[in-house]
Amino acid sequence: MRFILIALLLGLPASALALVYQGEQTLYEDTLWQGEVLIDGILTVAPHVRLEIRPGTRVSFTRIDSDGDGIGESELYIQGIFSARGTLDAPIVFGSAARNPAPGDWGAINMMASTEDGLMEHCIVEYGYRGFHAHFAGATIRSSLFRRNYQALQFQDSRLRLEELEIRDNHNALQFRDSEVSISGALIQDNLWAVRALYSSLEMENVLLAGNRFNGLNLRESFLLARNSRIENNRRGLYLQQSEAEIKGTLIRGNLEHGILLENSIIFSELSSISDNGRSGVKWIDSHGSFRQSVFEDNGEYALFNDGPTKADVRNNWWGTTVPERIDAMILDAADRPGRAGVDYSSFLLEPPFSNTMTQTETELP
Amino acid sequence: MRLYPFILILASAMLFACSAPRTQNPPSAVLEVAGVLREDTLWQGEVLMLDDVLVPRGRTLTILPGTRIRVQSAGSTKLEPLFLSTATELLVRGEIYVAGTSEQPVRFSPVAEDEGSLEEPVWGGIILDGALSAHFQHLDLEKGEICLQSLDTSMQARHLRLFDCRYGLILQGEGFAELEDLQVEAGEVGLLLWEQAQMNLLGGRFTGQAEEAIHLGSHEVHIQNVLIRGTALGVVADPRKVDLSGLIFEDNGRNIYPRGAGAP
Repeated sequence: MRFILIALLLGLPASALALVYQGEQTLYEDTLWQGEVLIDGILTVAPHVRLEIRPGTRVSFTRIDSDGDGIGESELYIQGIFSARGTLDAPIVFGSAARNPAPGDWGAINMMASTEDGLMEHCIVEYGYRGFHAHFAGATIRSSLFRRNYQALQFQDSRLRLEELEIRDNHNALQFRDSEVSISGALIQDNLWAVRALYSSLEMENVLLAGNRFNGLNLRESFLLARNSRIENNRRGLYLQQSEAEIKGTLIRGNLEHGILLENSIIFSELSSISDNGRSGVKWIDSHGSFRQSVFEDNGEYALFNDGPTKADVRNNWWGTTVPERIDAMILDAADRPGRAGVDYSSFLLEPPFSNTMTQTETELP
Repeated sequence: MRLYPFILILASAMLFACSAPRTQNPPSAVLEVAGVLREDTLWQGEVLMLDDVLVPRGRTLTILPGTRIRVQSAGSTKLEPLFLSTATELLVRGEIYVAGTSEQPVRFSPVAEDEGSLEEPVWGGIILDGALSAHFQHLDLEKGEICLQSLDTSMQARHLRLFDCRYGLILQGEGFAELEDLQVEAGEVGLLLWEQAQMNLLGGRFTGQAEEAIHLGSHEVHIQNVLIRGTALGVVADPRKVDLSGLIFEDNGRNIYPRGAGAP
């Protein structure tokens, strides 16, 4: 390991002292960081070697763009053991060394086939290309903020536990494939894309996906279990492609287009509210499953649009009215367009199953 | 004349294309493209988009008349941090000038179309994400998931034709679109306006959309001489806020859905 005390050489005060790693370097011994650390290249943590970062440490990455693609290349490449535990008062910051930082200034905190599951707590990750990236790895990330990255978090073939996170103002927030991911307590807001999953399973509880300008939650060939969450004011709310979902106690409202778009998917939803979405509450294409004890109110053109050959089972729900003709007018199906299947909205409720402003269980968000 | 600024911009772009150092394919060869443009670039003749292309800030893409761009399908399974669609896309954050003519339009279409096996849209379209400048003239876009979407971008388009796109044109966020002679054929939805998007639509035709031709919501727009024919739903708009007198309706399942004005 080679390090340079640049600040000392420059005669700067003690507070400016920085541990600097230049070029391609590897940690072969357990290492503890505190204070200022500068990564000016690619730093690898070798298998079985532990890197621990103390509260209040700032890890800065130099912007290096050798191939001119606009993406910074400095990164931390972890094959060993990674523990970054800040505190509420002294978080650990991973960010850009640039005077005027921008998304993509540096590469990623990469965990690649790491020896043990990584741990990040009370961290701030900003201005990265992929803020945190895992491949054949596991990690727990809690009480941390990801902002102004191209991609806040991305995983492949990994297991992730995400707790009490704030992921905002990134281009894309969270993308993963072939992974198992749980999210408990998260604010995923004001990104372009919020969550995109492929061939994965996602369990989420107490998550707010709001104001993301493309899809809120998009799963393809994946499984979703969602509890007590809110998906609101995105372009699309929940978009399932060849996926399965169980949803309970979740608000899906105010999305610009469809609240829920189902394509060749299976959904079981109860005690949820699908309201005030721009084009439709639910668009149902070649899908199966049911909605129960839920609320459909004030959606744009239709509460439910069946655009496929499979019947939609939406019995025992509240439609904002008890007049069958009015409910019928909110539904577009075989009765309106030949070639589509029908919608069974029988046994509709005579009053809302819960308060329309909150789902069955009080949603607690970070 | 209203058109003069547009023509001047395109003429300037073409003049710039002839004078500035840039990547350029010989007219007779097929140019294969993918990735981030590292310099100002000129496309002409036959172009094959093998993968996503990004025009970053500080770079300009100019496309000359008659250029045919074929786009390779990507299976809609990509998760790339830098890009936005899961399908192959042309993402513009810098500047784009498309200078087709009535005799030689510029055309984007998926490769699969040539193979005769295309059933669904297989490319992501052109995405303007805070683009610094976007000018289109005589541009044909075919069979995209969203053929053209403008996010926080002001754009000008004359003679823009969108064929069989699932969504034709989406205008979202801050930005003003000057559209003249917009033609959208088939697809699910022709034109959607969201957030603060503003638009002048002068002349055009929407035909055969499976759902709505135009979704305006409560946006204040200026529309003049636009025909909507043979769609399931002509326009979704708040008639209390939007002047729809410039629309001509023929043979639609329903002409106007009064969004925001109470139950239908």
